[in-house]
Amino acid sequence: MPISRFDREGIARLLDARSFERLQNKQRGGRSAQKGYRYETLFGAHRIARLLRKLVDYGEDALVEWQSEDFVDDFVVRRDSRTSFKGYQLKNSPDVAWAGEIEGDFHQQERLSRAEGYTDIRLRLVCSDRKTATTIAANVPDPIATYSRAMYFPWNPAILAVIRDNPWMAHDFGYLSRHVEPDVAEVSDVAQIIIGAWEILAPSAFVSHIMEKMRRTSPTVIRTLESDAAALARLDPAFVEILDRLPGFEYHIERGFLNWSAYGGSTSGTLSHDCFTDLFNGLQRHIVGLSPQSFDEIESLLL
Amino acid sequence: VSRQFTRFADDIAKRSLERLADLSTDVEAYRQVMRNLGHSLADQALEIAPDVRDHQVCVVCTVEDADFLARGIVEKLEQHGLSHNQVRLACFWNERVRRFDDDEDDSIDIAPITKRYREVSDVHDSILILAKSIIRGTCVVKTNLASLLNSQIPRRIIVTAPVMFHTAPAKLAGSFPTEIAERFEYLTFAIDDRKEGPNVVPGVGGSPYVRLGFADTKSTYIPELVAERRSESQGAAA
Repeated sequence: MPISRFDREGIARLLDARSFERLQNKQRGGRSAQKGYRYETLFGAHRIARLLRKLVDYGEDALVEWQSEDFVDDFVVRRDSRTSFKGYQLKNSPDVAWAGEIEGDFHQQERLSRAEGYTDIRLRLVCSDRKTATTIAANVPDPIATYSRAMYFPWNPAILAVIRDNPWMAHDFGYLSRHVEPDVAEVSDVAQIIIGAWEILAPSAFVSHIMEKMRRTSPTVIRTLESDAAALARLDPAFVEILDRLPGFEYHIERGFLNWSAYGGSTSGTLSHDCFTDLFNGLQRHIVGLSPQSFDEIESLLL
Repeated sequence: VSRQFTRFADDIAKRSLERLADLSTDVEAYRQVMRNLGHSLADQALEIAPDVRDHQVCVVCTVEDADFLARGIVEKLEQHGLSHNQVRLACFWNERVRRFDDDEDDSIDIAPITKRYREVSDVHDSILILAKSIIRGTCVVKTNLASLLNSQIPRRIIVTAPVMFHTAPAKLAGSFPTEIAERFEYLTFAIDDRKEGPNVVPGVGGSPYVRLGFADTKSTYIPELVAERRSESQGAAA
């Protein structure tokens, strides 16, 4: 069955008056949320990073939403081709319980999503307090248990701290970096770029579009979607010959970017634009024209 | 009053800060004043952290400060008897990114490192002296320090600048995990609490890039300090 998303009138017809009013009140509250680095944006950025891994590895896209017309809508992932809906409700506080509004919201969300044609419906209650998360994960109410779970997701107002304390998160963000082994600052840059791109494209965007936006910075700090072999093929043989003969100069391609080092590794860098860009081609041509004999002759050009 | 002098500021330091704030001070004079302030900051660093003499010291700077403020610090540490090998240098070239290329409004604030010069050092056993001509925000300082530390925690972290904006120390500390932030020691001569546009007033007399003569050339500049130390290192290895 194809997905057919309900408009406001359709939702009103499906739900009783009280539930519909609850949904409208939720949306008014949610949309007043502030922008910037906070629990909701960090969580969303991390989910987007994980979805982008699927895009990089398998070309699989997904639609993400924030504060959509749903009951469980702090973050939503839709894969309509698979009739898959995943909704997250976020609680950055230890005071969380299923009873009352949350259980009701999960129930109504499952009903709404199923009516829209989704068959794989997964709803998650996310909490920043580890102890509370453990407790609520062990006590999912029976009526919503088949499609509901609770999970822990950390929070720290210092982004460097949350990345440093959670290597799995650093790994997920780091997969999108232009570096294979990014340091904590580089991982933090990726997270902040996802947050920035998502906030501009929100409340609804395909992760492929978010990725395109993320790559539009100077310098580019996000990896390419192309293989390193494809990037290597972009190197002009004359350029390669010059680099290969520079004494003490080393280089390699990493995630589409040319990385270099000299003076025994004490001096190193990454070109600001990947090997598929006109800027990179211009640099190749310029260096070939110079025909340098030493690293010192090109050091100031390696930008 | 928008400026408060700290206990480290003697009359010489105060006069130097006046010369930085004076817009008639030309580039060459400005550079020399920064170098002198580096000397003064190194003197004070040795006062507050005498154990600097017994450990490796890593002076961390950005490209525009390398030949002036950082050179002053390195020179003075060596004049105080620290060996050339004991004083290590790390220099970063950053690009500031505040927006996506196709946008007109700022939406991000990061300072990715495009290039680095880093002498081998055992960060875990070192005392870091992070030097910057002025600490206004935290973006560049945070990036360079986080990159250098990665998962390591040095003995001490002295964050130093002739002038700091009043909110910068707390903001910097709040950007790092507690176990790192609690090692920060701030060494400055003056704390200012007023800004005009992006510049702190009186601060260091406007943008340090412009005043140091790097309005458009920061990213292509190779500091003489870096070139000298690389050459010395090569000579020693030969």
